[in-house]
Amino acid sequence: MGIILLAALRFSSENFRSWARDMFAPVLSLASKVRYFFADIGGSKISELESKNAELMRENSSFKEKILGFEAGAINTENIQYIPKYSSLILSQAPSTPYDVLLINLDPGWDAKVGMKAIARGGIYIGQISEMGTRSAMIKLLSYPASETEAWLERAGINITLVGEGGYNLKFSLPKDVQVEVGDRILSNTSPQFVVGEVEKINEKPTNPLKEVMLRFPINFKNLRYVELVD
Amino acid sequence: MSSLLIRFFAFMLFLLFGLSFGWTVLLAGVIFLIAIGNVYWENILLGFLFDILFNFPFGFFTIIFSVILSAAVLLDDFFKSDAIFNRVARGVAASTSAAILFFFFFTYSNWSSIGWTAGESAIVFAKIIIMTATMLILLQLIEPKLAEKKFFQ
Repeated sequence: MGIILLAALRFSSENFRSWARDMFAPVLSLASKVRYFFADIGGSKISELESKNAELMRENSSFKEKILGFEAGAINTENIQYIPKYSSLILSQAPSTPYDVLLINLDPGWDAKVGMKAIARGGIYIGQISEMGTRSAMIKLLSYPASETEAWLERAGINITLVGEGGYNLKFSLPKDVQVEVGDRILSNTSPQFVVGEVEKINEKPTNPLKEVMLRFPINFKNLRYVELVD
Repeated sequence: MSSLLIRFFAFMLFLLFGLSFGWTVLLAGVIFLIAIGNVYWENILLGFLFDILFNFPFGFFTIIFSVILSAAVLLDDFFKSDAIFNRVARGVAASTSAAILFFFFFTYSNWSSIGWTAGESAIVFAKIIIMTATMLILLQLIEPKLAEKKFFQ
């Protein structure tokens, strides 16, 4: 039975998987309601505070950027706000799975497409749509094992390549002489720029000319219910 | 017929709980059934459904479910009775197989961080063992009352 199912899996196309997800959308929706029901019993206040915390962090980042702009004498009046195209409910999220993906709900009338960016808490870039059907889509998070994403290390002002490690963890490597500290921000290489995460830990070995920097998303995915989709 | 109905409801419940609370909950549920001596082959379909829905590395859930159910059938020859020791042995064997397979899959996807994947596998193992053990202890407490038919009085 297992061999037959594996053979079926081997020949299942992306369209078939999207169709299956659409078929299971009501079950996924019910599962998300069950999860949110239990999360709300004791944790609605935590979720609310986390949401406010993320919003304040985003505001803080925005003010810091403006101050840096003023200090450099380059007053940028350009509107740096982005316009989210859609706000989508998360049907099943990464804690349900070891491989850092989110399943989200799509409205059949939406003009969503593969490659759209997923933004959480109003300014944190978490991943992009990798597969989609008419009623649901799969978002592959930046932390998906071995996935690579270009990003920007704000302090040093250099491009870096983030490598996903699974479990919402990301890492990148830098030459030892490049200065980086715990708490430094990593921004996306997109326009407009979004926060990706903050440096959490720096591993240096005397035998290795590069240092390994670990970072995490600045949000708790357990309490995340909606993501915004941006082109 | 009623047994089929119960199995169908168990299947649907595992699917819903797996999607709601995580794949380790789903796995712990199936391992609990194995521990109490109920090897239901339709649970491989749960793995297949999860593979279709989440598109992990090829066959992730299907292989894990197939292997733990097959191992359970082989182990039934050694641990036949319903004594608690046999139940624990079946549960530990199934959990260990699942954690080892998870380690191999995760290492294959993320081979550069073998220490990290080993840690994650250990966490998965601990989670499954804790959940299965809790369910087994609850069953041990309920079972005598069920046998005496006092449970619903």
